[in-house]
Amino acid sequence: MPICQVHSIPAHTDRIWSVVPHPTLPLLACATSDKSAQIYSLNTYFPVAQLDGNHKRSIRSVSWKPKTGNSSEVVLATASFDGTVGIWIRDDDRYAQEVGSSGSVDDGADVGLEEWEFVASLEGHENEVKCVDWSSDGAYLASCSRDKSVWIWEADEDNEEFECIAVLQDHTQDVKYVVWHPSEDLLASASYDDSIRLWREDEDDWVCSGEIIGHRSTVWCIDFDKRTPSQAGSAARLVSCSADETVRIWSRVSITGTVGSRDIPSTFRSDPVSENWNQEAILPKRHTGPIYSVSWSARSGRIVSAGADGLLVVYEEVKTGEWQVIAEEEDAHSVFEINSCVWSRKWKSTASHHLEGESQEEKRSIKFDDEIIITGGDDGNINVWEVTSK
Amino acid sequence: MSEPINANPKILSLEDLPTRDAEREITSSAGSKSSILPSSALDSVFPASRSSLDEVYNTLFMIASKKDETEDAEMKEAPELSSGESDSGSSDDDEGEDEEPIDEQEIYDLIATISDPEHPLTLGQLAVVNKPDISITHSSSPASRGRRQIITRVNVDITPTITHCSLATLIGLGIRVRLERCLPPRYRVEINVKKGTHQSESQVNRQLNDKERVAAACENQQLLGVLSGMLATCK
Repeated sequence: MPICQVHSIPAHTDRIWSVVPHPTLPLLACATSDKSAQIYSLNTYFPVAQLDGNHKRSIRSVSWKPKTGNSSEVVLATASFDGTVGIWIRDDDRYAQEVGSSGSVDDGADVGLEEWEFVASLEGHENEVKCVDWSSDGAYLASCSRDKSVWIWEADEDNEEFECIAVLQDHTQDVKYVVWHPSEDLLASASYDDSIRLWREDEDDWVCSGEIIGHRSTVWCIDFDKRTPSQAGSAARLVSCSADETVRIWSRVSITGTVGSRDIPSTFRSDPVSENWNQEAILPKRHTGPIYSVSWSARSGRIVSAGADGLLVVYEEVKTGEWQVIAEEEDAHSVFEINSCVWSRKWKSTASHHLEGESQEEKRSIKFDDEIIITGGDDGNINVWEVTSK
Repeated sequence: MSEPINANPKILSLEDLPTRDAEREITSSAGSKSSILPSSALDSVFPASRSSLDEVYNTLFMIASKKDETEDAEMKEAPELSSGESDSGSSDDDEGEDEEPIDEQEIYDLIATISDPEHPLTLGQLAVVNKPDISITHSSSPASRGRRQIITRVNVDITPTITHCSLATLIGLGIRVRLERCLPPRYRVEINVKKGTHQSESQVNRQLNDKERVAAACENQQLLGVLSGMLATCK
């Protein structure tokens, strides 16, 4: 299948470390090496906010807090090489709702800069924070660092007071990436020690519930399969990419001593929480060089990977455990390395530049669940891609 | 760093260092037994004079500064709405295509003049950097044929002065920073400790080639101070 570039934002003069779309709003956050984070509209691709002045070094990673209940707050966490995590909230009183409300505004209306407030700085890591991720219900924030630890934070309602509820120190080297399971209270972390670890709450303590070993070099990024129903027994899957030039799929084969047994007094419980994961597949090899980013689509179930070789690869599962490459693009950021690739929902006008000249009816008929791939590279560009069926 | 870890390193005399200069090459191959170059064959294949080397340097720096200007200009404008395969960064690289390819001697010249962090000598003089340990690989897979811009790999193996040299990582970082500042973006630099020359070879190699660690190290002011001291002798 062809993959085509539908847009390119010359966002920055230097490296873009990470691009992350908001889970429900047409907003894209981007972490850059100039100590700031930028926010773009995914309707227009115009910048809507610049978050700077608080971090002393590069911002490596950003994460949106999922909207929960009827809360309208828009919250972003930033992880920096300065050893802190920043919490930012959009000031909706000053700049009311214009980009929000499911993209129902005119394309031009959200041009301009929003006001964002820096509300908290989470200190504790000894050195560079490499990644942050909010859990899907917004209850927890996880961070990881070169200091080999993973921290779990709990926020108060105003997102201003954060309490560290766990410091997890089982990794033996830098922790590069953390990601929450889409529905379980399960955290996964990837490390320079070549392993992936899984963490969950056992009684009142967060513990390492499993370890995945198999990669032969740094595991740079991981992502959960968001479509496997977690209610169906123990099923769960994870994709990982590594400096060993492979992308691998892991699946959970068993889990013991957990979930649902909360009421039983601890004296009756003999099993510590524990889960076993096996390698299910190694995706077809395309990359030469470290693979920095991988993303598993919640819509199509496809996987995209990118890395130092500048190659963007899209994989599709033919049947369980059997994957094929359906699209690839060389030099996706010209000669530069790609640091981040992620699937996103295609917002209403994402396609309009591409389909210029078509009638309004045709534009409206674009399917709601169409998806795009967003990439960020060392060239400072954010590129937007679509996999087309022909 | 007050007490050198390796107080008596092997030192090569300046005349023994590989150079493109034809005259000096003759005297060095005639007058020294310890020349680290097995022969001057490589140099005669690329018989460039000092002045043409300077030209290449100038071109390199001009490209670098011009790129900054373009990017500055881009930043002043609002991001454009573009469709299709527009690529703002490609124009510089197109010009670069007509340049002569960079060879091992040029890489050597870029890094051999870096100062050792603990000795008042250059990495070339201490034989930490040796021309035979520099290799350049142009991407030649069939898939990449016809690509306008081809990624070029530069591999540099360094030889620490002693096998437990704790400064090996710092030296490697200095070389990486120097090359990344001087080479166009299509160059991918890989720095390794030469096999069998350091007791924690694999650890050092991994750190030197971990992009994130290198980037973070380059934001450490103290480290940057040391690095700029090392690189001060380059120009």
